[in-house]
Amino acid sequence: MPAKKLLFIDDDLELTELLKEYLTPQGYEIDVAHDGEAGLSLATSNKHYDLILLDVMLPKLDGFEVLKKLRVSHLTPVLMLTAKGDDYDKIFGLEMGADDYLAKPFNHRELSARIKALVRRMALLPSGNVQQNLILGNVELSPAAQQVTCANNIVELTGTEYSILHLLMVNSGSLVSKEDISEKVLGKKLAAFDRSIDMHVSNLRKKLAVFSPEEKIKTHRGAGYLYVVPA
Amino acid sequence: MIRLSRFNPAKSLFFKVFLWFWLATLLIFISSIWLANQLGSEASYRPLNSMQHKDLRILTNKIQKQIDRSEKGFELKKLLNKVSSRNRFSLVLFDPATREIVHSVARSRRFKNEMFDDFNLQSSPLFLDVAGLSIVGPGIITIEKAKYMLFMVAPRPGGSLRVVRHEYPGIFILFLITISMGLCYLFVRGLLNPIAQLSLASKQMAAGEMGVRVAKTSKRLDEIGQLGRDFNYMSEQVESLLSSQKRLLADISHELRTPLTRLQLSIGIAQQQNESDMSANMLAALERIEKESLKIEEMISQVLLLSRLDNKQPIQNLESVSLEKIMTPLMEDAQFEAAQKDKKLIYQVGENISIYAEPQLLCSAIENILRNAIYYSNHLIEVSVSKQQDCVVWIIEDDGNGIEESQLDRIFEAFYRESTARDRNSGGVGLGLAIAQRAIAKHQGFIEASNKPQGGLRVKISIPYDKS
Repeated sequence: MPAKKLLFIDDDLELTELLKEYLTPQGYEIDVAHDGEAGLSLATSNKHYDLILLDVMLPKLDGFEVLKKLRVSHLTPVLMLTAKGDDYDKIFGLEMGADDYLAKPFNHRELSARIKALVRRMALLPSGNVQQNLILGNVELSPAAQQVTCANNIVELTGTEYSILHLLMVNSGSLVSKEDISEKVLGKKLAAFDRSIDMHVSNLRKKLAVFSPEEKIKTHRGAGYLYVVPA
Repeated sequence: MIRLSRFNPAKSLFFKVFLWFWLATLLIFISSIWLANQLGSEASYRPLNSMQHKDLRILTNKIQKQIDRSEKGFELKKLLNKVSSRNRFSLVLFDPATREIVHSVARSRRFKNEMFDDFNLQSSPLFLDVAGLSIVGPGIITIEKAKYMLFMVAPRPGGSLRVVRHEYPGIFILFLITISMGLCYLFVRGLLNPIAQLSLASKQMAAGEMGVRVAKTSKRLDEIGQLGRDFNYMSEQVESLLSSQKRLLADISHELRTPLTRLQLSIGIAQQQNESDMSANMLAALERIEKESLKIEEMISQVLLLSRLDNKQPIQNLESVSLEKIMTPLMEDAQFEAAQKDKKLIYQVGENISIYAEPQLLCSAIENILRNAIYYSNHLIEVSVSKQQDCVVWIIEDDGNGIEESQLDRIFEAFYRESTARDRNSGGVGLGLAIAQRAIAKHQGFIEASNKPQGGLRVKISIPYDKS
C-alpha cells in the first residue's frame, strides 16, 4: 500500500517541522505550505493528497478562503486546525465543507487518531465485498471509484460525506447512532451537543436532493440516522 | 480675575451656602412681616391700667386747660403738634357728631375713621390695638361747647410682629418652620442629588459594573463637581486596570497555545522512539510530561473560556433544549463519579421543560458545580431541578463542611481556592466555579451559594425558561 499523502498548511515553521517528524514514522508522506496561496496551489495541483491539515489563521489567504476555493474543484478531506478560545464558528467551517476540526493545542494521540480516521475510507467496508457496488433505489455507491451517483448523475461528496453515506447504506434499514458515525467516520467520541454529524448529514441530504427529492435519510431525534430501504 | 471666580457661588460651595443663608434669612424676615400684617389687622381691646388712665387724664386736662385759656381763633393744630412732639405719641381728635377725624398729627394716612367707630362720648377709655398702632382713649375735650374725643396714638413697640408672636405663637412657629423647610429642601436637593448619584454609581461599581460614570454631577463647577470628576477618573483607572489584568491573562494563554502545541508534538515524537531503547524512568517521565502538558492545556482552555464569557457580547448559539437532554448525560456521569467515591447521589426532577440555552455552556456550568459537590461531600449529594415561576431552579447540596460565611461570595472569583494553601488536591485550578457563574450569568440567570444550617454547601442556580 502506498504511503498516504498529507498536505499541512500552517505558517508556524517549527510546528510543521515537528509534525513532519512525528507523522513520517507513522507511514505518511507530508508536504508543507506556509501560507494560504501556496497551500491552495499545492492542493489543487496534480498531486493527489489523502488529507489536508488546514490552519485557520494563515497569511495571504485565510483557512476559510482556501477551503472555499479548494471545494470548487476538489473533495479532498480537510481537517481544520482552529485555535482554542478564538471566537471561531465551527459550524461555519463544516458548512463550507471541512470534514472535521481540531483545536490547537491538541494532544498528539488525538491528532493521529483523527488523521487515521479521515484517511482510511476503505477501512469502513466490511472485508470481502470491498469492490461491490451498493445500490439502493436510484442511489449507487461505488467503493472502487469512491463515487456516488444519484439518478445517474454524479454526486460530488466530501470524504466525510462519502463515508457517512457509505456507513448508512451498508446498514440500510437500521438505525445508526451518531456515536457510531462519529467514532467510525471522524475517529472521535461524540461530545455532548456536538452538531458536526448533523451538519455533515444535512449537507449530504442537500446534495442528494438536487437529483431526487424523496427522503432517503431519516432522522431519529437524539438517537441517530437511518437510510430508508426503498420500497 | 481668578480671585473673583472663587467667590462665584456656582464654583464654590462656601459661597453657595452663604448665599442661601442670606436668602433664607431675608425671605423669613419679609414673610414674617407680611404674616404679621395679615394677622395683626384684627383689632383688640384692653381696659387701661391705672397708669395709662392717669396719663390720659393728665394729658386731657392739660390740653383742655390750654384750650380754655386761649382765645378765640387759637391754633388747635399748633397746640396738638406741640404736645405730640414732646411725647412719643401722636394725638388724634375725633368728632363724634360727624364721626370724622378732625385733626391728627403726622402719618395721618395711617389713621382711618373706621378705627374710631367703636368709640363714643360715653365709652370708658380703652386700649386698642389695631393695624400696628396702639390707641389709648378717648379723653373728652370741649371746644366751643362741642365735645371731641382725644386719642393718644403710638406705633406699637415691635410692630405687628410682636403681636403675632405673642398672640399666635403656634402659627408663627409653624410658619417659620414651613418657610425654612422649603428653603432647606431646595438647597439640600441641589446637594443631595449629586451625592445620591455618586452613591448609586459606587454601588454599581462595587457590583462589578465597571463602565459606570457620573455624567451630570461631573459637570458641576463646584467642589461636588470636582468629586464627580475624581470619581470618573478613578473608575476609568480601575476599569482599565482590571481589563488589562484580564487581557494579560487571556493574552498569555493565547500565546501559550503555540509552544504548547509544539511541546505536545515533541512528546509524541519522543514516545515514538523504540521503547526498548528507553529506561523505565524515562518512559515514566515522558508519561508525566504528557500528563502535565494536558493539564496546562486544560487550564489554558479554561482561562480562554473565562475571558470569552467575561466579554460583554451575548452568547450566540442559543437554542431551545429540553431539560432532560441536558441533565440525563450529566447525571449519569455524576452518579458514576459519586459511586466511584462511595458517595450517594440523589436526583429529583420535576416536569421536563425546555430552556433557551447554549447547551454545552450550561452543561459545563452545572457539571462544575456537581463536581465540586461530589468532591466536598462526605456521603451524600442531593440534586433537584424544578420549575419555579418563570425560572428553572437547580439546587445542588452536599453534606461536607460548607464554606466560611465571609468567603461565600468569593468562591465564584477566578482562581479562588478555599484553603489558602491552594492545595492541588482540591482539584481544578479554581476556575470551575468562576466559569459556572459567568456561564449562568450569560443565560440571564444567577447562581448563589449558601451554607445549610445542618452543615454542607447549597448552590442554587436559576435560569429563565423558554415560555414559547
